[in-house]
Amino acid sequence: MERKSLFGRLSNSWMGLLLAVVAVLFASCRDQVEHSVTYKTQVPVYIEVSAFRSMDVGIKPPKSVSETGKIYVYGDYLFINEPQKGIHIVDNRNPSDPKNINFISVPGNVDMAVNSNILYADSYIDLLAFDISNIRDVKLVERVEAVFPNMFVNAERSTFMTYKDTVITAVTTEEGRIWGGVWLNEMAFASGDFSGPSYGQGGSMARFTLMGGHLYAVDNQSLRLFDVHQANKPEFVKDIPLGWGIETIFPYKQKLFIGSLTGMHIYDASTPSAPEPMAVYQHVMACDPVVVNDDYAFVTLRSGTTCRMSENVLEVLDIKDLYHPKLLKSYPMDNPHGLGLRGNNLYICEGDYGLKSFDATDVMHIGENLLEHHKDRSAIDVIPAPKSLIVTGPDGVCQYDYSDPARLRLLSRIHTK
Amino acid sequence: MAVTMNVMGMGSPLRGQTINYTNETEIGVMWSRANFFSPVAATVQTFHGVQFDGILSMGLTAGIDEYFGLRVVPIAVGSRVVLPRKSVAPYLGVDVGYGFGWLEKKTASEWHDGGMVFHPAIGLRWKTGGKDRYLFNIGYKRQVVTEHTADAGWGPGSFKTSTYTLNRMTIRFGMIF
Repeated sequence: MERKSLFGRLSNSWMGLLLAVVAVLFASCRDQVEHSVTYKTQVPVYIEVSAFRSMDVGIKPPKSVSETGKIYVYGDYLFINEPQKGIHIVDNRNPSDPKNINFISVPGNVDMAVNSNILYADSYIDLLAFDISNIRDVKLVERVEAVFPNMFVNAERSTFMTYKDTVITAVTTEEGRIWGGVWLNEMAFASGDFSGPSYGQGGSMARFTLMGGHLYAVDNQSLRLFDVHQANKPEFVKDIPLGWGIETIFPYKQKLFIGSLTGMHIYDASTPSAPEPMAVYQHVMACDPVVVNDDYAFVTLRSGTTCRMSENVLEVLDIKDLYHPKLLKSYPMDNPHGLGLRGNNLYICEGDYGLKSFDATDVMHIGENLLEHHKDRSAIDVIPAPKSLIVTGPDGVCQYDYSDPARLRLLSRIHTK
Repeated sequence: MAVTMNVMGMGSPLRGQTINYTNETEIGVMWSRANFFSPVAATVQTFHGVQFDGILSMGLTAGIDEYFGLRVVPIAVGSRVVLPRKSVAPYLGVDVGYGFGWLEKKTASEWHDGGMVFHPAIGLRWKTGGKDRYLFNIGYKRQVVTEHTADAGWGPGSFKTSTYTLNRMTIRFGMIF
């Protein structure tokens, strides 16, 4: 009876309780989400010059490639940069069976070039020269100090700044969209960008190149010129300011084609020690590796972290008159990075979208002459080397038999581990 | 279609109680003031259990929740209390369990994990003759779901985990068999 009277009281107020529950739930029910994003990025690292010069440099036993940067072909050897760490030397006499010979530890290394058995490699602020005439006993023969001064952070030049790859996990929370309102902003993360990679042969994304007894190195703002007539004794000559956002350098018949975020610079290097500007082809802000032949320049523009405000296109420029380059045609691409030209065949690395090969005989109809699209592996840069087409990507280095440009045949893969 | 069992065993805590099989099948909507996916979601569920003395029921609940952008299969342990009234009676229910992401498409770059579900509700039960009884209840459903996305635009090797906590008001109508 006592229980029944309690239930009776509840029953009398039940409808009121239901209405109260509706009111509370109506006001308070909100979806929530916690995003946790783990991604690779770069953080600034400050290094004392004295500590840097005491770092270990030189030959080490071979080791697996953990990350690929620039690549360079010299004779039967393939050089693979492991960004900031050094250079893997690969015996590539047989592209179907490349053999990792050894590793040269070079702190802060990003790019390289080879001249008469001397390997030039940047090491943060310094330029190093290694004698590779005995590939199994590579020796450091010269260090040209403080030739990349843009990294210094103080007037005394005692400390410089670099960036170190790191993995960051960022956590944010947010509430859902208010009913009838607008979505609350999601986290604004910039998409990651690849920093991909000529004597020897470099890729279209190289920042080092050799021509006429000189080594040309581009950094973010300038062209740095070294006299390498005496191969083992590189001498810094001068610094040619180029503006801002310099990305790549490509040599062709005593001309230098320099890709920047805002355009392509053409320099006449017939006097190698004093390159003269010929023209600047300007475009929207984009990353633009470039390759050329006698008549045309092929430039890829892509969007990305440092390449914002851009579309993803291949541009073909008429460079018959090098002082007045003219845009002929623009072709939509997916996310083009490095590119390579062999005869009339054009190879374009499309980042995560793979590798494309085109017949570029008719420059006005390249888009209609896609020969192949290999979508199975990411591709960042390509070198059409004498024995094989060498393609790099985050997963490693692939080599293809490209004797039939319409049918690339995979020869080997060097996997990153 | 009630199955009646008389538990008469000596020493049984259920001695003398009448145990009936019971089934509730409900359909309804779920709403959130600030939401992901869609402001209004659909839900259908069925509860199967045993009823003790016509008041308390214990059993298992299974259903499908369609958030229009996310589909969850909640499976829970449930309890119901229907106060003894002849026609219209107060009703209490609670389900605690796990919502599975089985019905979500799984790809190499995107997949879902389920998560805990908690769902209390209050409402009314009424009879309209015979043994069929109808249910109307209002409740709160908290469902946790985790979405994993690989290489989602933050560079190679990037990984995103989004843990959604869906807090929804539920309004359901159903039948007790």
